[in-house]
Amino acid sequence: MTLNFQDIAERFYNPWHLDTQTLLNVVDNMYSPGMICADLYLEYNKRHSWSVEDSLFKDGCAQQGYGAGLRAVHGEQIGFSSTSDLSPSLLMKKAAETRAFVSADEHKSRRLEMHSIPTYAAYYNQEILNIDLNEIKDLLLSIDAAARARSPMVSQVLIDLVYSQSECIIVREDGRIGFDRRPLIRMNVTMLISDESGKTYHGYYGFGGRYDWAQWRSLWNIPDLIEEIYRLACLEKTAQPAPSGVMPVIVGAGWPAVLIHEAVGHGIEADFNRKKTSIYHDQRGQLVASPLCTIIDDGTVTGLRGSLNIDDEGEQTQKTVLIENGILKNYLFDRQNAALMGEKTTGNGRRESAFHCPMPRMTNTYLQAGSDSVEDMIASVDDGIYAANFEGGSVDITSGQFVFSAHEAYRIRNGKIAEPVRGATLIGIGPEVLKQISMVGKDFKHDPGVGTCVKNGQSVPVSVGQPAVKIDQLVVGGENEK
Amino acid sequence: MKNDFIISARSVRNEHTSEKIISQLRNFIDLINTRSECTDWEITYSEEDSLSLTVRNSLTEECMQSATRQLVINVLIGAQSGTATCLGAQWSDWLETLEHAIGIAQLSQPDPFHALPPEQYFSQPIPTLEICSPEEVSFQSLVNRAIDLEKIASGLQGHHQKGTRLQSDGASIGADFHWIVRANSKGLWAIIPSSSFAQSVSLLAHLDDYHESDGAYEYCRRFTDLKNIDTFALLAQDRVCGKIGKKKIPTGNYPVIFSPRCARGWIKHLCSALSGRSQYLKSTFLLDYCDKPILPQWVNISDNPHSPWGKSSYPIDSDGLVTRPHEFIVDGVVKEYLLSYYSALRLNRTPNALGDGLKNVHMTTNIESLNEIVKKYPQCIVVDGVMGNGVNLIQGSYSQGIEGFLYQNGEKIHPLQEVTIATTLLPFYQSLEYHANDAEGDSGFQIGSLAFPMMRVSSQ
Repeated sequence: MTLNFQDIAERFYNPWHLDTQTLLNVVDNMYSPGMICADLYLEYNKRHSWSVEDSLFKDGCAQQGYGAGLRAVHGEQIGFSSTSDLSPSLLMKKAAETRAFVSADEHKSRRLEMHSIPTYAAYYNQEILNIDLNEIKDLLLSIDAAARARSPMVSQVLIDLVYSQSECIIVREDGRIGFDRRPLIRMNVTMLISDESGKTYHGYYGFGGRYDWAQWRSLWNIPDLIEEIYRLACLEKTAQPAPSGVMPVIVGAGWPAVLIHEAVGHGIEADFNRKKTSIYHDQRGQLVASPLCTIIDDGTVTGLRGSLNIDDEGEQTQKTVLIENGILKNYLFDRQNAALMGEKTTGNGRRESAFHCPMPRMTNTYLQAGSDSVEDMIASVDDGIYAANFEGGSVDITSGQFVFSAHEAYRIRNGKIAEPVRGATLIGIGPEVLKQISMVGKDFKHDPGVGTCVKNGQSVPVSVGQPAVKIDQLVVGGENEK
Repeated sequence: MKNDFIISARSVRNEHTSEKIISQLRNFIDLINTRSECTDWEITYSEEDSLSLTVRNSLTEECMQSATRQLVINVLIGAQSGTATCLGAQWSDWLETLEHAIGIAQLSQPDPFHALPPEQYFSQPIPTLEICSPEEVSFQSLVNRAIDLEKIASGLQGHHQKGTRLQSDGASIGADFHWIVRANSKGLWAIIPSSSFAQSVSLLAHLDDYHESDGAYEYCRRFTDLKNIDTFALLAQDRVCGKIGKKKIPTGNYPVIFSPRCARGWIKHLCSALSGRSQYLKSTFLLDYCDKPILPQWVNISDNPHSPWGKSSYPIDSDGLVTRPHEFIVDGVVKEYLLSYYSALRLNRTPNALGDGLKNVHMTTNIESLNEIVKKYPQCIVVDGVMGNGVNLIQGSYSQGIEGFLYQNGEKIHPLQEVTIATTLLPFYQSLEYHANDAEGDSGFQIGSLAFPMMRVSSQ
C-alpha cells in the first residue's frame, strides 16, 4: 500500500488557508544557522470510543481537533510552542517565539524551499473512521450477550472500544516534508463474576493494533475471547496468595515482555545515555544480558501498535538491534541526540501529540526466540513461579531497578505447574536479571496490542514481544511465606 | 537565550478575548436550544496556557509554551447520551461537534440513570474561590529560580557520605493558567479561572558502584507559595544521597511506615474503593461499606474543597454541582461514598458533589513525627516510594515494590534494594497504628507518615 501527500495535505490546507510554501516559511522563520533542527508538526486527530455496561450500548464519545507543534533545537537547548490554532499568522508568530527561546541571533530568511515530498510504501494506510456504527453496536452487544450466557455467575460485563486516526505533516528545516496517516484500534473486555458468597472476581483482556475494521475483526472471534476472559476470572477465584522470597521464575510469552521494555528498553533511550543518567550509558560493547538474549526495536512491523511509517521527526522507522547475544550494540536515537552523540537517528523520535515535544521512544521492542521449550523450562524448576501474564511495570533507569505485577501466575512444584497464585510482584535490577536468563523459548509472540508507554508525562502506543524465558533468581513479592 | 515576556492570568486572557468567546458560547447555546431533539445538554469550554522551562547544568535546556482550546458537549435525547469534543474555537468545528454529539446520542441505548441534576441544584450561587493567582511572573525570573534551585541542590552538604558525587538531571519551573466556562440546560453558568505553578529538581548521586536518582516536586496555586528554594533543593539532595548503599533484607513480616511522600496513596486507594462507580458495579472489596468501620476509631478524614489557595480547591464538580466540605470518615467509620450524579442515582443516594473525588484532605493525627514513630518499633521499614501495579481493589489484595529504609531502635540503618511489600487490604486499614503530623504540604492530600504493625516483606 502507498501513502500520498495529497491524501493528507487537503485535511490541513483548505480549512486553515495553508499551503506548502507557507509551512516552509514558518519553519524558515524558526530556523537559525547552527541549529540541529527546526520543525513544524501539524496534526489532525479523530478519536471515537464506545462502551457497553449493564448490556447497554452507551457513553459514546467523538473527539477531534487540530494541533501544531513548533520546535527549534540548538545544541542541548530545545524551544517548543504548541497551539490548537493553525492560522498562518499565528504559526509565524509562534515560530519567532520558538526561535527566540534558543537563539539570540537576528533572523535571516533563507527562503526555504521544498526538498522532497516522497510517496512511500506504508506499513499501514487504512482509513479507520468509516466504520458502520451499527456494526460496532451489534458487535459489542453480541460480546456482552455471549459473556453473560457463559455462566450464571457473570454479574457484569464492561466493554470499551476505542479507535482513532491521526494525520500529520512534518515540515523540516532541510526542506523535507514527511506525512502519515495512523489508524489505531483497541478493545478491552472485563468480566465480573460473583460466587455464592457475593464475592467478586474479574478477568479481562485487551487487544488491538494498527488495522482497519475488517482486518481487526478477522484476527479474533467472540467465543475464544469470552472463554479466555472467563478462564481468567475463575482463576482469580481459585488463586492463592503468592509466596515471598527469591526463586526461579518462568516468564511467559507475549505481553510479559514488558519485562524487557522496563528492564532495558528505557535505559537504552539515547537522551538518558547522553546525559549519563542511565545505567547503560557507558556499556556499549559490554555484556549486559545473557548471551541467549538478542533484543530488537522495530518500528516497521505491519499492524503493531508501536509501528510508524515515519517517526514524528519525519525519519523512516527501522529495525534496530539493541542487544545482540547479550552485548549492548545500540541506543535509540532521535535527531537531537543523534547529532549530539555523533550518531545517526534510528527513527525513534516520537511524541504523544502535536502538543508534546519529541524524544527518543521505543516502538515495538522484543526479545528474539530461542530454542528451548516451555515444558523443559518448567520441568527444570523445583520450586518457583510461572508468570504467564503481567499487568504493567515501571523502572528506575539510574539504579536499574524495575517492578512488574503478575496478572496470571502459578506455583511450580517439582517441575510441574501447581496452584494459581495472586498478588505476585516481581522486582529486580535490569542488567542483573537479564544475565540470569538461562533458557529462551521458541514460542515467540507479540503482545495482543495493549501497550502504552509513559515517559516524562507523555504516552505513546508501543508493543512488546518475547518467547517464554527462565530467570534463575528473582525476588517474588507475595503475602505468603515461601 | 533572550525572552523577556511576562506570564500571568491577565497576559493569557484579557477582557476582550473573554467577551468574544463568551459571546460565541452564548450563540452556540442558543443554537443548541433550537435542536428540539435535545432534551438536555451541558458544555465545557476550556483554555489552557502554560509555560515551562528546564535548566540543566545552568543551561536553559528546554523551554515550552502551549496554548490549547477545547469544547466538550454532551447532549441528552431523553435517556440517550452522546458526547463530542473538539480542539479550538472555530465556529464550524463547534457545529460539527454538536452534530457528532447528537448522532452519538441517537445511536446510544437509553440508560435510565443518564440525566442532568434538577434545576434546584444550580440555583445556589457558585462560590468564588481564591484559585487563580494575579501574580505576574517574568520568564527571566523563572529561569533564575531554576538555575539557583539546581545550583543549591548540586552543592553536596557536609553531612552526606564523603566521596559522593552529585549530578544534576535538571531543575524545572512551570506556570499554568486555566480558564473554564461550564453551562448546562438546567441553569448552570460558571466561569472559573485557576492557576498552577510547579517546581522540581532531579539529581543523581554516585558513590563507588552505587548510582541513584531522586528529587523533589511540588505545585501550588500561587508562585509565592512554592517552597523556599534552599529548603526544597536540600530536600532533593537528602533524598538522593539517602539512597546510596542499598541492601537487601531478610524476607519476613515487618512493621511498615509510609513516609508523607507516599502515605497519601493509601487514602487515594480508599477513595477508589469507596467511589460510587465501584459500589454500583460491585467491583470493590469495600462493597456496601457506608456506616461500617474501615479505620481505627481515632481516625477522622475530612475534605474541604474551598480552602483558600488550596492545591485542589474547586467550586464545582464535573456534574456542575457546588462542592462543599465533607466528613468522609468519622471515628473510623465510612460516612459517604464518592458519588457522581450518575452513581448517586444508581445507588439511590443523595448526590454529594464528590464525583471528582476528595480535594484538600486532612486526617486526625496521634503522633508528631516519623522520628517518634520509628522509636515505637525495635525494627521497621520506612517506605519512601512505591513501584508497580499490584493494587487489586476488587479482591482487596496489595503487592508493590518499594524504595525505603530499614530502621532499628529508632535509627536509620540502610536504604533498601529489591524489596516488595504485600498485604490484604481490609484488615490492613483496620490495623493502622499511627498517623503523624508531618504532612509535607506538596499535595491536596495532607497526609503525614502512616504506620502499620505488619506487612509481608520480600527481599532475600
